[in-house]
Amino acid sequence: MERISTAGTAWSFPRSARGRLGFRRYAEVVETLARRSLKTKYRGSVLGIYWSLSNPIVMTLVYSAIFGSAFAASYKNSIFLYALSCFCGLALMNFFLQSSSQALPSIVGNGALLNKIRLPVSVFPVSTIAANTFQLLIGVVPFLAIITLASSKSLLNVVALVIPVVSLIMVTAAFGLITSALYVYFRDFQYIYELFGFMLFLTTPIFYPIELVPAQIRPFMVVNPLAAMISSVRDIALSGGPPHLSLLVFSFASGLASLLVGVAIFLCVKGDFMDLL
Amino acid sequence: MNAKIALDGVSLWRRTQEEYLYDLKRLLLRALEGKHRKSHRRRVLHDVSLTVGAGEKLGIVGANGSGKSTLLKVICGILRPTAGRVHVHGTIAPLIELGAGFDAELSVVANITYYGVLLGYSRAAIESRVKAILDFAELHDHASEPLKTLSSGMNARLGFAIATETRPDILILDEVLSVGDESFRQKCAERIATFWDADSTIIAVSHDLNFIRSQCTRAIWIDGGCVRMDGPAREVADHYLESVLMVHVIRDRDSLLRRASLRSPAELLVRGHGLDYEGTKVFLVRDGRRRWITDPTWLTAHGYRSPQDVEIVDDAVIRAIPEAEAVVSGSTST
Repeated sequence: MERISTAGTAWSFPRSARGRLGFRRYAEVVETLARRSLKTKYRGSVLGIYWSLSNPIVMTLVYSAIFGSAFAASYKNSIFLYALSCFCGLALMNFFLQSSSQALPSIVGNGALLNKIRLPVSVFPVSTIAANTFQLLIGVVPFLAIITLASSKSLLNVVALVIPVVSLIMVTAAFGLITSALYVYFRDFQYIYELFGFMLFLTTPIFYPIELVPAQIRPFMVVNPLAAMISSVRDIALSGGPPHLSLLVFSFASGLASLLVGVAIFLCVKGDFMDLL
Repeated sequence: MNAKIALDGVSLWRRTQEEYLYDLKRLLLRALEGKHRKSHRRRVLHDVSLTVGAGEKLGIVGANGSGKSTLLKVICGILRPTAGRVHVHGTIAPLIELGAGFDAELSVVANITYYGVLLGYSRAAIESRVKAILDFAELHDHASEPLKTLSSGMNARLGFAIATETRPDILILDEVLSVGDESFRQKCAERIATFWDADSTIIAVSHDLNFIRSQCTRAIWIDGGCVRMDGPAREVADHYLESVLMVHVIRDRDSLLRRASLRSPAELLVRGHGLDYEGTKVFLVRDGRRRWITDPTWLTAHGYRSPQDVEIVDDAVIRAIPEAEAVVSGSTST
């Protein structure tokens, strides 16, 4: 190499790549990764984010057309109420399935990068969840807030929406962390997860009333990690009355519990990640 | 000494991937058949202790797969050691496969902030440097184009420009010293030279022993995951070369004459044109005809693989022998 001294060149010093990765750095990396995925997805168009609403809306129309009249009896004889209930369920379920299945390959997909640059492994699933959460907060949540305000005419209900939504985000984050970790170990895990997602979709009362399920099966459906959040959102948004405290507490508690379990599993297994990427 | 990097008894065991199934279905089926295998681990680094002071320029030599890059990854914090401690003070800029984190769909400018944040700049810091980086990489005309439209050389230029925009306390070079076309290569060399002159600590992995000898103050030789030798760059590079080529490196006139059992240097004949092979220039072959050989492939092709046969002589030694110099400069084949 040629040695040429360029005396007088001033190199400025500030750098945040300290030995320890602080929270700010972590947040900044997550934000940058999330921005990137939103940017590449929507190419800078703000309306692009609302495109994510098209899926639950179309599905709602289809379900209403097929099952609406059959199930209307359970929804105060209103197909419209059935459609709203269906939409709430689909939008939230959609968020969950989309985020967790996008998080699933995120660590493996960035294996090359992790081998070149020092980054906390969890930023990849976390940023995927963050990008989807942003989308949820911009797209679906205002929609839910409007429905809630229209049906209950109470600001308390609108504020109460925060709890099931936050709980749902926690459950989603937990699943994102777990699936991304398992995918490092088992590269056929995505097929298993697809099956799991379909099962979850069917066993959550989204497009059918829970009364349809035989009484002896119903207790098992409590295990479903999403059921509490979805029924809480429906309770707040559609019942017209004040929110049921028990549903709120239960959904928050199960959300928090899943998140803790998810983080614990992730921390336990992440030690071997770098050897398998 | 103001230590920048201190490794204390660092060992690293890694799971071997080929042993691993990567497949839940097969794992379950095998478990049912009772053929469960425990994961296998291999030692990649063994008890490496190393202290690098501020401003030191350390070269790392060693064969492929000896653990050089792994050691760099441990120093960078990419891999965590199984045992031992790693202390690093200051900012690290790893120049390892530049541009590995680019997103081909994003524009050049978006990639600068994106890659910059991944590398450790704060968002504000990298955003204020976008112009300077575009200047250095000479990519102003392509600023808003998606990265996939750029050539691979432009990609590498951008990677280098981002990674070296600020002077790091510690610079890690893994065979990436210059990229792009000749004029850009020159720019890279200049920039790295400024790091070299300033009191940056530099750790360079290179197979170019010439480079290690001339640019590093100190070198370590990694062999099978252990530090086999640690000392002045020149010495370490020589010992490494001796082990690889099974040759002797000779650095003074008398030992040359002694080894070649020559009465006077005039007995030497010269073959080849260049005198440039990995810093030590010429091979003296003991085959009765006493020739200078400059082509290492000639050596292997003729079966010279032992120290009894081949000696490598430093340039300076030749210069010290006027007669030899004369033959060298008028070199033709024998």
